[in-house]
Amino acid sequence: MNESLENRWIQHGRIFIALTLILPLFQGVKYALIGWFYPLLIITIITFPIMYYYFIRKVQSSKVLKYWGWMNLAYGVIGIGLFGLSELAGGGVPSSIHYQFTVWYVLKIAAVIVCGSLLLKVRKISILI
Amino acid sequence: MKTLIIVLSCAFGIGLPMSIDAQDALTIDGEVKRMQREVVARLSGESAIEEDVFLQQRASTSEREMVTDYLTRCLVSMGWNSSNHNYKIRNANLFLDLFFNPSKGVNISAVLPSTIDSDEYIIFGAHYDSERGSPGAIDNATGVALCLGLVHKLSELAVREKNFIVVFFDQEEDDEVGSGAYVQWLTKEKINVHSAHILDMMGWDENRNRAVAFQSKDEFLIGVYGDLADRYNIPYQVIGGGSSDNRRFEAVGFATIATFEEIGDSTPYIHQPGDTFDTVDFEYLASTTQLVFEVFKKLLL
Repeated sequence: MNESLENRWIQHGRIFIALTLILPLFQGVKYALIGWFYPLLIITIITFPIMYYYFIRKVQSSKVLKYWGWMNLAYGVIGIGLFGLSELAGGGVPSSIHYQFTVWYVLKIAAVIVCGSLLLKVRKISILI
Repeated sequence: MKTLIIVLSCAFGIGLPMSIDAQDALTIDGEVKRMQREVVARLSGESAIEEDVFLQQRASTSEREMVTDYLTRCLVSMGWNSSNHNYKIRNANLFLDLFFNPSKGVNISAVLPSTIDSDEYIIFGAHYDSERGSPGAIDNATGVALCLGLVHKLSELAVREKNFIVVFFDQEEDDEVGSGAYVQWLTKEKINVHSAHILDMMGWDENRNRAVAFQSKDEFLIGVYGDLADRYNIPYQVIGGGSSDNRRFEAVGFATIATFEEIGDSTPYIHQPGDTFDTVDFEYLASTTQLVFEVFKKLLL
């Protein structure tokens, strides 16, 4: 394991995890603000393990990091899949969805995949701590 | 030529002259016709909607915003009180909500108050968005132009015993998202809706018979439309189901009717790049405008 990455993870790991939670929670809040609470509920359930271990009990868990890393990767892969499907389906995709495949969407999905990969990489450090 | 037809018809005892005369009674003044041509031209990219901007479609957010600005200006210039309805609504399913933003749009709306105290509203409207890649001249710039013709003519009525609301719905091509949000708003605000009248595609009449199709479950509205169509010798079909924004109104129990081109004589260019200004039959649009106006006059009695 890269020593500088290990040091950085020990110092800033919790901040990094908090950053990975911003995007999904923001997604849920957007819908909660228009009176639709199911996305926030689902996101809360999905993110509960990571929030519980790292922000309530404040302990390290490689299993939870692995879970959260795979969740991020899965989100990214599904996001790419949706883009691919929309390209294949062409006119069958509603315009309200079609016009959301923007540069921002690509950056968001790329960021989630990078975060997921990093989480899987650093989970081994958690075993050492 | 018309005289010849009348003479021949009289000689052979057929009713054709009567039908032509009856249909000709559904004329509309030149100012409205010019306005309708201009509206369809601007919405379908035949002429510029803004300086040097010619719409190829009305599907993206920026295109729909341009249409919103244009149609709002049209309604205000005709003296109606603008009351646009902005909405944000969830996607078709929960899975999509986890990846995408809520659907966002504007139902362009304006109110013409009754001249006598009334809390009843007659709502009429048409969707203004188009399918991606289609200029949407017939689907549905013609519906919008028809409604603006009605806006113009209703403003001229000295006495109106009911209020009118005109609505240009957003995102009909996306499973009627706009009208769905609008109906939710109507229900929440407890608006006393007398009836809802949806106009969708009114520009193709290849057989020149001016026929229309009515889609409704409401016997009263079918009766009123049917009687007037009979009076003006307009052939009509009554069909079931809900295939446009009327579906959303019917779902919550509002008395609703939608008017379309005749089934079997409808534009072959629907949702295609060929749905252009050149394919629109403006005489047909004008005659249907007058027919719906006659319906509204009858509903006001």
